[in-house]
Amino acid sequence: MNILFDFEWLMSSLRLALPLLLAAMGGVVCERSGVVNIALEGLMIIGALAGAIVVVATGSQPLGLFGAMIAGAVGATIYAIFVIYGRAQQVVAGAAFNMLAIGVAPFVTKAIFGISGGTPGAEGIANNQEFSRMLLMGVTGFALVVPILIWWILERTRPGLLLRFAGEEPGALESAGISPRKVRAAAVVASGALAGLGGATLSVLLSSSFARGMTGGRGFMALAAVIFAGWRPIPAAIVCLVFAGADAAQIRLQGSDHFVLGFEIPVQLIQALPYLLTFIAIALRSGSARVPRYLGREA
Amino acid sequence: MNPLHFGKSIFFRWPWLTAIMMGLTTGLCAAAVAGENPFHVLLIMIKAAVGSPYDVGMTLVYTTPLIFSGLSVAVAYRAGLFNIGAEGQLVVGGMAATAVALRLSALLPDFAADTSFSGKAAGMIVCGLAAGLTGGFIGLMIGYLRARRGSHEVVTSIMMNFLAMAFTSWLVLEKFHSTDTQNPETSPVGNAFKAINFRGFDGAPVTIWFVIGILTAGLIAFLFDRTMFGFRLRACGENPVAATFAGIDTGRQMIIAMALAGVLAGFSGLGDILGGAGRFRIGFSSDYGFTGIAVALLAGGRPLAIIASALLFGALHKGALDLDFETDHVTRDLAMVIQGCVVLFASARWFNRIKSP
Repeated sequence: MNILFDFEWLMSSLRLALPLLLAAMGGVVCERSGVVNIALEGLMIIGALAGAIVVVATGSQPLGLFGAMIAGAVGATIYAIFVIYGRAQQVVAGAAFNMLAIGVAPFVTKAIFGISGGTPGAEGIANNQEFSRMLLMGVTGFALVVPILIWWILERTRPGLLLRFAGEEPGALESAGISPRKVRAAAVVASGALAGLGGATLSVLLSSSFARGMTGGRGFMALAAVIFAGWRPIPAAIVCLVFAGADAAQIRLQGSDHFVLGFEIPVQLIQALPYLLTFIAIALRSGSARVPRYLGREA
Repeated sequence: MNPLHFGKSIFFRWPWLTAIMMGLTTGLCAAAVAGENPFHVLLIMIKAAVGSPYDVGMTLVYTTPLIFSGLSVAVAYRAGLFNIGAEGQLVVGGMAATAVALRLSALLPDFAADTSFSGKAAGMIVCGLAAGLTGGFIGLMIGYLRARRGSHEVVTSIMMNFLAMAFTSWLVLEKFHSTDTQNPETSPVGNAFKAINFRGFDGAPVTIWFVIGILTAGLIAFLFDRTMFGFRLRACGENPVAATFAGIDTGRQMIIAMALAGVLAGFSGLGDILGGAGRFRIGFSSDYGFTGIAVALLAGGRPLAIIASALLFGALHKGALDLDFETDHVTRDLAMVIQGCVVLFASARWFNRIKSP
């Protein structure tokens, strides 16, 4: 076991946690304002796609990340228009948004690059390994600070207070002359930027192109982490880190055969371990989480 | 009558039609931006969906799982729950049916070779039971966790989807892997277990499960509108507090609804698996479970409308397949774009002045 959990494992856990963590923070911001965000997965796809395209176009990774944030925010704006101003059922609209994002990604790559599987790899990055590594460390540091920052904004500042009111008691905001819908829209757009950045870490930092199915359900995992952590940013971040740790361990365990009491453990079980652990943890946990009161309801 | 007024009244009367038109328009506009003639694209899609008996047959083949998964989502939604786990339930249900059929084929070769009507009927019932029970068990588990332990059903279903994929791929690769091919699929089931196919579609495997789907929709419609069970479900979904005061055990209704949703989702994959090759192939479901959400929503959760809605999405899926080689700039993914847009427009209530379910 000592060989399994070493420095190398820690670093790969952090790398795997990066997209999850950022998306989960987007989820916290959005859901605390009272808007369910199943669309995280779709927003991550959009971010990953936009990031890769910008990197191919400009050759600059920071610009790629920035472009992904913008694209995520734009995507979230569309979601916000339907959910907040169209008064759509939030879970359904989120699922539809994911569908749209899954369909749009190959559509865009086909239109720009002529292939529907993903974007071509960016050549410029391979020449600049040192810078890539610095950028990855910088973004990782940023991702670790974000949960604390969001906690501080939510609990200690006026915008955070407004955001929580939009999720708990939108009527009170209305009485104070503030539109809960606008507060919610701002929260959704911010969450889109975070989820887009999370998606872009996959296509810009952890690899150098966008591929179909790249996000692999991470948006859903991030959402699960948010709900499991009771909609609190710092516990949600810890859940993401633990999950990524299990995932990193899983990847290492795949290399060799494992026997328990003479039975061979199938590789699929090892792969499913993080999900299995999450499921058991949810099942064993008593449902005492404090749900935002107006979560999923119109403001 | 003022034409504008007329148009407006149609918008408001049939919001689903508005949603379909707007979704289609958006998708075709996207195709136009990509450099295709949108009318040409539409024509290709219509031709590919209903152009020949074979095409119609394939459209029905894609419709079959969507009827079941749509019903599954609708039943859960009736009780105020969201079944995002239909995908996992249908994969596990299909696997269970295949596994039982394969084991029985090995144990009772005479029975498995029986292709008379009674033999096929027995095979169908066995497969249906296996798929329904396993799908239902997963639904029951999710419902129980939601009702009695307060675990959010969306989260547990998502985990279940991942676990279902891992579990079935283990079963396929390690326990039931086909002996004659290297593909990630099981051996073919005995002939008795292969679903009864309809002739007249030039070989498109339209199975008895399509008819069962329509009958099931009728049954669910009856349950919803004519029974106490349906009423309790709706009470629980629309106002759980009032339902509790009226003496309805809302937790119990949730568990029953999720279990029933699981059973329905379990049936979803059977037409595909038992209809054509009779093998369970990893990844056979092209997001039938998730598309079920779209199907149920466009139908407003009404079981009979789900048939029409499933037909539309089935036709869209089949129609878009030809785009890959008939056009230069768009691919089959256009179907996903149109589906997503249709559901987004259908879920928004700009045109819908009637209170949604």
